[in-house]
Amino acid sequence: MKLDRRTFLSAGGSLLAASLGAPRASAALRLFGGGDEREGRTLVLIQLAGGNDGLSTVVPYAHPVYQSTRTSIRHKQDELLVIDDERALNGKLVGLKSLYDAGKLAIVEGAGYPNGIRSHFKSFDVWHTASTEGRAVGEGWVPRLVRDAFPREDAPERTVHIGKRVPYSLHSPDSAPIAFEVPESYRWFGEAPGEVASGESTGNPALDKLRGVQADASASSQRIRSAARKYKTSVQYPNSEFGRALRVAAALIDARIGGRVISIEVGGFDTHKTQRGTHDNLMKTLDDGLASFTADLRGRTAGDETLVVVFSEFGRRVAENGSRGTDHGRAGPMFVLGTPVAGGLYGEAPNLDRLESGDLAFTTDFRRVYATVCERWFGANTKAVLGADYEALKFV
Amino acid sequence: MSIKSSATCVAVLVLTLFGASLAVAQNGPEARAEAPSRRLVWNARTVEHLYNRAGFGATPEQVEEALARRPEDVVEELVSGGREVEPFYVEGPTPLQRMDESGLTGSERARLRSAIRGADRKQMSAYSQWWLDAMASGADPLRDRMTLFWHGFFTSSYRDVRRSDLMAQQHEMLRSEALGSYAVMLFEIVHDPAMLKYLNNDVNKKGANNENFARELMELFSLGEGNYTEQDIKEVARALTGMRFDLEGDYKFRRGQHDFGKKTVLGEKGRLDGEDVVEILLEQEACARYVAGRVIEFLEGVAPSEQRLDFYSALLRESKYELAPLLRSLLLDPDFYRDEVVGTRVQGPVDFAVGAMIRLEMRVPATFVREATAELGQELFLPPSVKGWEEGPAWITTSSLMLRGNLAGMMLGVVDLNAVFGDRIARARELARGGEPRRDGFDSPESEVDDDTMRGNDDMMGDDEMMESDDGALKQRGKQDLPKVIRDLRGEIGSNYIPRINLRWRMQRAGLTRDAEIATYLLDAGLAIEAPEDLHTRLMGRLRGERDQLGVKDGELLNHPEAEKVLRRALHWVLSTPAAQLS
Repeated sequence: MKLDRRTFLSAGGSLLAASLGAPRASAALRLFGGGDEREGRTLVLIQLAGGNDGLSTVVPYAHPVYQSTRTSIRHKQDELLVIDDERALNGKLVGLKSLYDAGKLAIVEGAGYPNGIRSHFKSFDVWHTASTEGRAVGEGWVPRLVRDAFPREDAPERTVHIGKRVPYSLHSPDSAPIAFEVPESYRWFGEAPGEVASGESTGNPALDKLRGVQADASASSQRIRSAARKYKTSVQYPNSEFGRALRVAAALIDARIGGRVISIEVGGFDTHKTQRGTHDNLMKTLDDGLASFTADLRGRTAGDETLVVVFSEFGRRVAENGSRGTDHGRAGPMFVLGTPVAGGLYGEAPNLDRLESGDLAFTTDFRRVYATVCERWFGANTKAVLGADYEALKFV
Repeated sequence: MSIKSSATCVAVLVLTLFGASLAVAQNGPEARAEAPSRRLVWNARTVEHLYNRAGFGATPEQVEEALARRPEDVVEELVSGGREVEPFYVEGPTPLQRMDESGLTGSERARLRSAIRGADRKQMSAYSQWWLDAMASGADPLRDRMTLFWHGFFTSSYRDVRRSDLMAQQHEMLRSEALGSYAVMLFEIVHDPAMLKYLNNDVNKKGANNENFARELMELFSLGEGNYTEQDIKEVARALTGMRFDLEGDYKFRRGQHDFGKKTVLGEKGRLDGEDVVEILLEQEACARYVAGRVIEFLEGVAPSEQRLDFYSALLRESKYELAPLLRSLLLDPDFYRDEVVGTRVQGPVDFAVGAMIRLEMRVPATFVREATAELGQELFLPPSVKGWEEGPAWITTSSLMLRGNLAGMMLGVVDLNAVFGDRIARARELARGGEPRRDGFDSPESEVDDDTMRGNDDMMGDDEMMESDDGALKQRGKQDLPKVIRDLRGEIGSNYIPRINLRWRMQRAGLTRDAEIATYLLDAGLAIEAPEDLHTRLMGRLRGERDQLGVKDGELLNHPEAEKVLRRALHWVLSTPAAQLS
């Protein structure tokens, strides 16, 4: 039987679960004999907003086109963490380099999609919906994934965004995402809540939806706060927004209270001007956070069960612009990391000798990464989630 | 100021431009869709809806008053603009800003810049508060409603512009033209210093183009995605070269930086410059369609049907981009009052806060409103991206819903600031005692120019701001972690704040005594929409529970010394409901 979330809520199930502090549906799954090794698996989606300059992230340092078109923002070989004769990681990506050396970082090169769009918003829509139709699809790819992979799970916090602005990838027409910045204040103070979803329609769809949000908030508030409060770790996370968010992510994963998909955004990648220092700092933020996070989870079950995917809405133009920055481009690299990952290079490096109106042409549809997550990580049906089949990669 | 004189130029420009196209529009078979023929139902619900959407809400008395008048007259009053508000006096570049930095050492320069930034942020914050006060005064509701729209449409962010005088100058232009002409605004915006800075046109020069402004000018400010090519962007970027501004905040055309070569933009060829581009954009069918669509979607909360969009974009073209005919027609359109629209839009944070102040006739310090709306994701003059704020359902997550309730509780004095933010205050203290310093990659000297149109999370009150605080232990590092809402509010709304509202007196004056009457009053005053049926029953249940605890009978509550507290708690409950998020 597939439990519809609304019927579940209206039956008071979610509130009951909250009062018992029930750890999502895993116990139920075991009872039904459905438990398997995929039971605790989590995906952490990290979105680099603004269009990350892929060529300053995975750097084709030796290529003459790179050298000639990047005059002021070029990275020299001795500033980089060399992978092989063709590519090197940005010098700030120290933690990621050691993960790569340990075989726990997969670099998916040339990720993009046909007819790449250079608008932040439209391109993010494609990444968030896994469709070139963008928001016309009406739903992000994450709710589709979770529904297909875990049809029995009902806890609202099975998808969580840690931060202020929630990406469309988590959007679903019939519920609002669970999102918060600081777990401690994720609660009502004083008089709360004024309405409880009764399960009956008020005749106003917007109001019905908000009543569902309220029920979700009530149900998830206590669990999330308690997970964050109880979490102990010896790892010192960087005191950046990103570092704090990752610490909360680790707490949620550790408490196993949900969090099938945890989303985090790092902003600031729209580097049209004086890019070099800004971008290096962003790389450092990214690396410091991820190094702490992977160190924290390493050697624990939570680490075996967590896959991290890093993406951006597009890469940037190959040639730098007139203001020591770069304009919007197309293909760029993605990172997949964690204990379960078979590290190495995936996809295909874009050809710098064959640019597509000044941009790197994509070689690897990003939906192949999604497909890999669907099939090989969560055991979901790619076609049901992404609307079409894409060949999976082998990084897990 | 040089840009002021340009407003007259554009009027001429638009007139000549439309001489030819007007005839086409009038004769075209589908250009003029049928005007709506159904009649507008004029009742309390529709009147309140009009004030919610064309302003920031209305008191029950205002609704009564409007009901006695013709809808045409009420709409005309809104569209023709209301009372003038005393303008904010904007301080231009200060002597410090004019100082020549060349003789200074690195640390002197850093100190100077920090002092300049501190003073400038203060002005930006004060300006936001001035605007919020203007909204709450109800002096010119539709103008402020539309200014909020244009602020999210022709977006610039203080985070990148870093000069409050330029942000204020842009805002003054948008506010004065908000009910005027889109064409004038578009013309002004390509000469607007804050915009030129925000989208990097100040570094766009001949032979070294920066496409940032060119792209957003077409994608977000005029045509919408899909109505131009990548080649058009490159050509427009060339045309926009040399459009700069000086320290005084005056527009300057730098001939030496401008590319005088031939260009082709949307099929038009010539030695085009930025003003030619504006002319070409205004000629496009897609332009009126895009603008009309955005306006309607903002006011109605849902995208218009193709048929209505046909009608309204034709209207906008016929009026040469004058906005009054569009607004007048839309606000009298029965479709504006259809069930799909009324009471179904999720209010943005500014709507929620200003609307509550208006409906409750309650004065709340603008500092509080500014910080509260910022905390809820709508920080005026700091939109999250060049696309402005995403309206509608995107405002609500589980945490923002809870936070709205908590902030409403703080406003009514029934929730303590330290309860809501206590953990964050404690953490800030801990950091001040020697935790890890903040390292988020933004405060290195290398990133002195933060050019992040997509960045969304840090505060207007930056990390280097020296804060007046009575808490000596809270050193600089700790402050960095303390959310600005707390920093600014500790004095304002923390232990010193006492709300200025007297609900018991209001009830007594209105002759209300019974739970049922009190509940009706609170729901009327607290909600922008008609109260859902079950809410009244539940609120009565709450009141009964409180009365039972106090041991008073129905009808006697207001005589009890605790009455005001009971009423405030009940009102807080109302403002925390899902229904209170809608308008």
